[in-house]
Formats: sequence, structure tokens, C-alpha cells
Amino acid sequence: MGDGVTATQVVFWILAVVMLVSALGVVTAGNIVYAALFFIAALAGVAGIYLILAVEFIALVQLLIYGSAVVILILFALMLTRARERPQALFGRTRPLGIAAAAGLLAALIGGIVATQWVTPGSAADFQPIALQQIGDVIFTVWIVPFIIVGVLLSIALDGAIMLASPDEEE
Amino acid sequence: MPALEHVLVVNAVLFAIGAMGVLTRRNAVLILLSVELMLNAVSLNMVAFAVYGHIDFGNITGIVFAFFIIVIAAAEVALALGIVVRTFRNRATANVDEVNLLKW
Amino acid sequence: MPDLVLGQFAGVDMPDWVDALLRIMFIVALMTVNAFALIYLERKILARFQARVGPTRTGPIGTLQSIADALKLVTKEDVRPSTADRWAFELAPYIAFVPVFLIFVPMPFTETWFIRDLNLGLLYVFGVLGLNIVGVIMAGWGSDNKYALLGGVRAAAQAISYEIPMLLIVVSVVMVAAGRLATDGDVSAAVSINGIVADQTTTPYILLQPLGFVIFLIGALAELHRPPFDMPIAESEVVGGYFVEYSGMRWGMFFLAEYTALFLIVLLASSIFLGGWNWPFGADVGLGLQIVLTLVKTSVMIVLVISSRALFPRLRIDQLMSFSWKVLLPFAIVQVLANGIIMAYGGPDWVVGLVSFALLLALFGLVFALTRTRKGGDTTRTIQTTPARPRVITSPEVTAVEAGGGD
Repeated sequence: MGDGVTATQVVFWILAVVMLVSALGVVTAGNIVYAALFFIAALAGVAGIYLILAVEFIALVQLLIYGSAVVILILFALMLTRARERPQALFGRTRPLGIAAAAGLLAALIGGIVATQWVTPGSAADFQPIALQQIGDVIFTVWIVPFIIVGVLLSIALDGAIMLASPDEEE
Repeated sequence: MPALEHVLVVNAVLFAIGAMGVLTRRNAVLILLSVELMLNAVSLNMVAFAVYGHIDFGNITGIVFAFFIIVIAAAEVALALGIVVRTFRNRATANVDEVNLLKW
Repeated sequence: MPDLVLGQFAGVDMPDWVDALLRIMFIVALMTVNAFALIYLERKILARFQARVGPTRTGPIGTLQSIADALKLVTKEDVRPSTADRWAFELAPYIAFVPVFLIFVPMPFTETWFIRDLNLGLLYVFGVLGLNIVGVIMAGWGSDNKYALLGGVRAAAQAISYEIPMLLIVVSVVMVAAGRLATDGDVSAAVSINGIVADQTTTPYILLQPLGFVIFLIGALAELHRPPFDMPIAESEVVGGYFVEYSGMRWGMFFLAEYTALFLIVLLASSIFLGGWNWPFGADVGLGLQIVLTLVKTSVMIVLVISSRALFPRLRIDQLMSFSWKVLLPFAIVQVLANGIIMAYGGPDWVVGLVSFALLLALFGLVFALTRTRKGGDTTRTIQTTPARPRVITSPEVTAVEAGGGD
């Protein structure tokens, strides 16, 4: 890993800043569609950090599932629930309290991270990207039961979503 | 490779921003977006631990967790948005404070 | 396998950044030439189908028509509607375009010519292509135009619906590739596009996955908004769709993205189903012939895609969605299951191909049966539910009258 700042670290920090600024945009934007668009930028930043950590598979799954499907669903929901009669309140009365609580949480988390003595990972020479095959081996052997349960859960959730969102039968 | 602590700090900030969104936003869809941010921070953390940990411990469970989190998030978004759209049809609002039919 | 495309081609050592710059320039040049050629080709082919001759005036047999069009586009005024959302409107063309540009990266033109051979090339293509839709929806929403919004929402709904069968077909192709590569002991190339092409020296995968090829082609037509799946950009319904408010070069960006995506998706289909740079059934051909083979296969598919615009009647938007979710998706799932079962019991390749072919016949039979029953003007059969109306609270009598009236 060396002493100097490597190009990877520079890219990591650029991505981190982009991601965090976008995330701030999500929670503070005055326009709900802007919030959703900032969300996409934040997700792209997360995918970029996955790439920095050399897990291409998770990065691509992130783009594929979050980047297209989830974002499209959210944009649809925003367009379906836009109140035309009156502008909706975007923030509640307890906003300062919420910001304070989040700041407290952040302080606690960072305090925890700083206070912990992390086991130093091996040197950069030891570092090996995790291959798709390794992930597949683990998912289909050790984690096969959770994997099946997730599949069942997914189909049930989608059935439920269709039931919820489909219009009533007018009889 | 960035240091593990740096990744963790970035994730902590992301998580806190998401939490702030959940606590301050009142629109149901925007709250959902903030929850997604928090989930992303968590799965990023899992991946970071797995990537740095598997050198010493030979264990990539964190990556499997991130995979499961992404899949479950997709299911959760579909279901939650179904509920939001449904509520909007019945109550003409997506504001969580105004959905108080069951409140005494 | 060396991946230095241009460096190796010119036989010169060069620094990384020069190499990267050359690759980008190569992509840009290819993209421009491709768009010009495709526009000309499309106009000529469609003209022939309609008993016309197409462009003839500009240059010899009209070959410079596309360049004249491009000049007109560049010099046109760039207009933004005053009520449009500034950021969404102006950024949308780029966000729609950049993902398509990025898909060039893992595409193999010959055995050694590609920008980068990505290990997860197939997944990468679909992951990146999905981001294209964000630009489309931004354009639709940002234009502050009802038709643009309708077009954008239609495009998004269509794209995520047809992406699922396509992805499942890609999974089944990867399964076949992994099964064949497993005999050599190394399955890691099964998700790389070049790895899949390299495995097709003797058998193009269209013989092993004919159903996959057909579903992939249908999905590609839908993803590219090509007729008969052009509902998002249908002039007669949504006056051009999401880019109705765009003019000049911004409109040109959407157009360029569309034609580039057409070329790339077709190149992908010819790589993973027709064997890309391989001469069918064996015979190792040289580098020069490999690129010719890639281009010939791609061109044939392009002509097929363009012809489908003139050959098939268009669908309605609800039929379009039903077709993806109720016909293509089940067939794609059955294909994956069939591959899995056959391969788990060690069935040979020809069984995989035969089962896929049987499924393809079943698909054709089903489509034939479905379209037959619609003859005789009975169009109501296809609409199971009444179109969603804005919900208003009505008294029971009014509802009864409405329900009796029907749509």
C-alpha cells in the first residue's frame, strides 16, 4: 500500500465526495424529482466504491438492480403521487431535532470507528480481487438455504406489490 | 486501496445522512429513498469488511450479505411503493403525517 | 491474450494515456460512421419496402444524405422551452448517451480487438444500458410536455419489462457456455463476451439456444424502441415521445445514442449467438477475415432489425407489456430451468439445442394461437381490466352505469 497517496485513493475520495454530496442532495432537495436524481448519483458513487474495492460483481448488480429497476420504480411512484392541488410539505416540524439526532448518530459512529483498534489487513501484495466464481461457490453451498428463502420472499413481495397497486375491481 | 477506516468513515457519514433524511423528510417516497441510502451504507460496510477481511480470514460472507441486501431492497422498494401508491389513491396524500387513520 | 488493441495493431510502444486516448478516438469515429451508415441504410431499405428509391440527390446514389442531415442538425438553433426544468432538460441527452458509449468497452471485433476484455462483460453491458433509461425519463419529465412525459414513462416501463426476459436469456447462454467450458476446467470466461465467442469455434450458440436468440432479438427491438415496439416514440400517439421538445444537437444526441445502441446490441447478439468473429464450424481464419466476419454477421442482423420496421404490424402499449410479462418471461424462465435440468443430469449439447428448439416452436404456436383468436374485431379480449382512471369517489349508481358502459 505504501506511504504515498495512490491514484486509487484519490479516485476513492473523489467518489466518496460525489456520493456524499449527492446523498445530501437526496435529503435536502426541495424538488422531489431532483431528490430521486441525486439518489441515482449517490448509487453510482456507491457502485464506484465497490469497483475501487474490486468487487465488480456487486458493483454491476448494484447498477443493474438499483440503477435501473429501483430508480424507475421510485420515479414512477413520484409521478403517481404528485399532489397537484397543493404543494406537499417536504419537511416536518421536527426537522431541527432530526438533524441533531443524525449528527449525534454520526458522532457516535465515527467515535466508534476511531476508538476501535482494527486488525491491519495484509499488504497490498496479498490483496486479491474476489472472483465471481468464489462468490458463486459460497452462495450455492454455504448460503443456499437463505438464497432460496430470498427467492421465495422476492416472489411473494412482488405478488403483494401487484395486489396492492392494481386498481380495485369495480363491481 | 484506501484504508479500511476511511471506507468506514465514509459509510458512517452516508448512514447518518440517510438517517437524517428519514427523520426530517415527510414524503413517504423520500423517506424510502433515505432508507435506501442507509441500506447502501450498510452493504458497502459489509463489502469493505469482506474485502479487507478475506486477506487475513479467508471469508467473503460480507459480499454475500451485500448481494442479499440488494435483492431484499428491491423487494422492499416494490412493496413499499405499492403501499404508497395505494395510500395516495385512498387518501390523496403521500405525506406520512397525514396518514393517521389508525391513530387514536 | 494481449488486450492492447491499437498499440498492438500499430506495433508501437506508447504510454498508457496515449493508448487510452486512441481507443476513445477509435470509438468516437466508429460511432459517427456507424450512425451515418445506419441512417442511410435505413432510409434506403425502408424506401425499397415501400416501392420508393429513397435519398438519391446528395452525393452518388444519395450516400452523403446523412452528412447533410448532420450539418442541418448542428447548425439548428438549440431551443429550450421556457417552462422546462433547466437541469433535467439540458443534462438528459448526455445521460442517455454516455451509457451507450460505455457499452463499446467489452465488445469483441476480432479475437484480439476490443477495448478491454471484461470478466463480467455480459453483466456489464446490461448494467450500463439500464442507466440509459434515466436520461430518457429525465428528458420526458424535464420537457414539461405531456407527450414527452408519456413517452418517457412508456420507454421506462418497456425497458424494464423487456430487460428481464433478455437477462434470463443471457443467464441461459452463460449456463451453456459454462457447461461447455467446464470440460476444460476453467469456467471464468463464461460471462466474458470474448470468452463466449471463443467457445463458438465449432458450434454457434444459435444452434444450442434458438429460443434464446429469438427472445433476445425481440427484447433488443423493444429496448431500442424499434418498430414494432416503438410505442415510446410513436409519432401517431405521443408525437415523437420523450425528445419531442428537443432540437438541434441535443436531439441529435438522442438519435446518435439510438443508432449506436442498435449497432452495439446487434453486435452483442451476433457475438453471443452467431459466433462473432468465428467462421462457422471450425476453420481458424486470420485477423483480417475475423473482422469481416463480425461485420457481415452484424450487418445481416441490422438489415433484419431495420426490415422488421416495415414487415410487422405495431402493437398497442398494453399488448406490448402483456407480451413481455405473460409470454416472453415464462418462456425465458422455462429455458433457464430446462438448461439447468439437462446439464445437471449431464445431457449432451444437442439435447439442450433440441429442447430449446421445441420451446421455440411452442412460442411460435402460442403467438399464432393468440393472434388468431383476435380476428373478427373482437379486440376486447386482450384488455382484461379497464384502463386505470383517476380514482374519484362515486356513488354506487354512477359506478354501475360506468361499468355497464365499458370502454
